[in-house]
Amino acid sequence: MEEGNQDLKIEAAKRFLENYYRTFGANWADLASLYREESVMIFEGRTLQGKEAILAELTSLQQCRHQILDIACYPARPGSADLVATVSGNIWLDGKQDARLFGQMFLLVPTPEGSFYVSRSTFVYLVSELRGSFMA
Amino acid sequence: MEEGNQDLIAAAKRFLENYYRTFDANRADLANLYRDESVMIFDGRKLQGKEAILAELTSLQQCRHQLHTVHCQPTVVGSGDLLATITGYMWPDGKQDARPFSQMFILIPTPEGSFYASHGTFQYFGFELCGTTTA
Repeated sequence: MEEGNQDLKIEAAKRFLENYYRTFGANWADLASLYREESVMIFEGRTLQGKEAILAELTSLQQCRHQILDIACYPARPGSADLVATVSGNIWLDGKQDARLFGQMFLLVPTPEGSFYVSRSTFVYLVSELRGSFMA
Repeated sequence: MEEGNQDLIAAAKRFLENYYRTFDANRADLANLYRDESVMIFDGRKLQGKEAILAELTSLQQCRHQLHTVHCQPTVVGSGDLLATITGYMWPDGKQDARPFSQMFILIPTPEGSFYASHGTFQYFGFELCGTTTA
């Protein structure tokens, strides 16, 4: 019974993240509601504390498009309700043609309404420089 | 071509599972995974080349990994290069508490049937996970 519940939560977290990337760049106000004052993001080695700082960073990314290649989701600690999600994919910035591979980790905390908020997140590019087009 | 791809992906997964076993047992044996051109980003810090990377890895104390997912896919259709993404828990430096980690590699096949990593990242979450509400 417990495992079934866990599977449902993991599926919900995956849908949450698919929606996160769809909302990204399309509706910043909606994205802002997924972060809180306590949220911490480490963006390419720089620590950003709190909803405002994080949104300031994210909204500075122009014309951003994500293509998710892989999502994995599991409890932050064995048995915990908080979930860790790791995402790898391609990101196109500034309307450029060439993508960069990125890796992102989220710590998702369940809300009473049945959704999640992002408590912690890290973002890193796999490759420093543009390597040319990857799978479209 | 499709079958060849599947074989390569299966070989890469076995290679990676062995990587983490070796990591936990004898880190110096990982030397062949890296070359001078290899770039690893450990928790935001960039390390260039086999020497720098091995120095970092061997500086860690007793580590244990428990893998959750190991996924591999081609980076570019038609090339042999693979994007590997690995997730799981790690117990670093002999500590008791598990930390979730995520790792990515770009794996390049070698003529000997093995792989080396041209690029890689390692990210983890620390012990101070916020707002933990264990069920």
